[in-house]
Amino acid sequence: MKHEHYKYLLLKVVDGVASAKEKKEFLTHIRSCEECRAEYGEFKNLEELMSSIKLKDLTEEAREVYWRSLYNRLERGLGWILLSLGAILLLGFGAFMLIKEFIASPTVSLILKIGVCTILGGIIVLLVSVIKERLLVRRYDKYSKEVKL
Amino acid sequence: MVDMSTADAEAIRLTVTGDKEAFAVIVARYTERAYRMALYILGSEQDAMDVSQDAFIRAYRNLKRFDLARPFFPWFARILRNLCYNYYNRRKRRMTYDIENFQIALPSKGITPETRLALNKALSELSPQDREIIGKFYFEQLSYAEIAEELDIPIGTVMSRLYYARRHLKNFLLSARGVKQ
Repeated sequence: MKHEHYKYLLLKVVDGVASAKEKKEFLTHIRSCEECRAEYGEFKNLEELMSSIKLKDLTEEAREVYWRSLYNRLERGLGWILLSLGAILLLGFGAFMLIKEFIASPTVSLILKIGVCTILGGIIVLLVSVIKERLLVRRYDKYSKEVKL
Repeated sequence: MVDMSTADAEAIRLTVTGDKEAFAVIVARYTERAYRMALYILGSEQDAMDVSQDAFIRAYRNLKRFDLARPFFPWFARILRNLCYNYYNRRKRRMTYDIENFQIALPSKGITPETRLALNKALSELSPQDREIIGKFYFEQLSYAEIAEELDIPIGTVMSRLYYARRHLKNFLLSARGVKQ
């Protein structure tokens, strides 16, 4: 539609919120404008179709299942946090002890020790970089404020 | 003792002190609206269930920061909307809009299976932003002013977005029916 002004009038007329004056102005315009007249007809057809459908309501049973599932997820949330923290602590400690023993071992060659330490250093740098990136992206995420409310 | 007559602010205050039953009142009060909103943005019953539950969990964990002087639902709706968009962006390749989530409101004005199929396809083609405004207008039957308030945008922007969303829907519908434009 070329006429910006009439697209708002079209909307108001189709939605039944146009004043008598606006409706008259629009109806006068579509007598001489084929494009607006065609669009008005299409919008009215769409209006008829859309007003004949609606979303299904949740059944009483579905609402019950919904709350039960939500409650379980709320409870499990704390469990997962504790489990993850414990696992990180144990794995971190285990890895530290293993590396300490590996470096102190007289049977392992120096080259192997340097190789393993370099790989570990690389993994740590990559990990820190990914964490840093994630934090920066989160800071500039336009939705983060709402999601983190 | 909390029940469905307990006001939102009181139920939230009790929830913050650790009363999960008080949160159940909030969930029961807004389950339908939350589910429907997620449903018309995402288009899948299961996704709507999961994401709206995620939003309740997110809200629950952040209730301490909620300003009790303000209404709950607009605050919650912002969390839900953003979770829906994030979810959509992560999974858009495999998502389809399911017409079976709709039912005919007026049996005398029944629509044909072909029209249902075309509408399904047309709604799938819309962006989630278009589906959101279409959903608020047609399924929640909100006025321009109410949509403007919910989305925190001017009425003129609501009208403009509604115009283009309906235009897109109309064009997708014509194309789904095989009408050349």
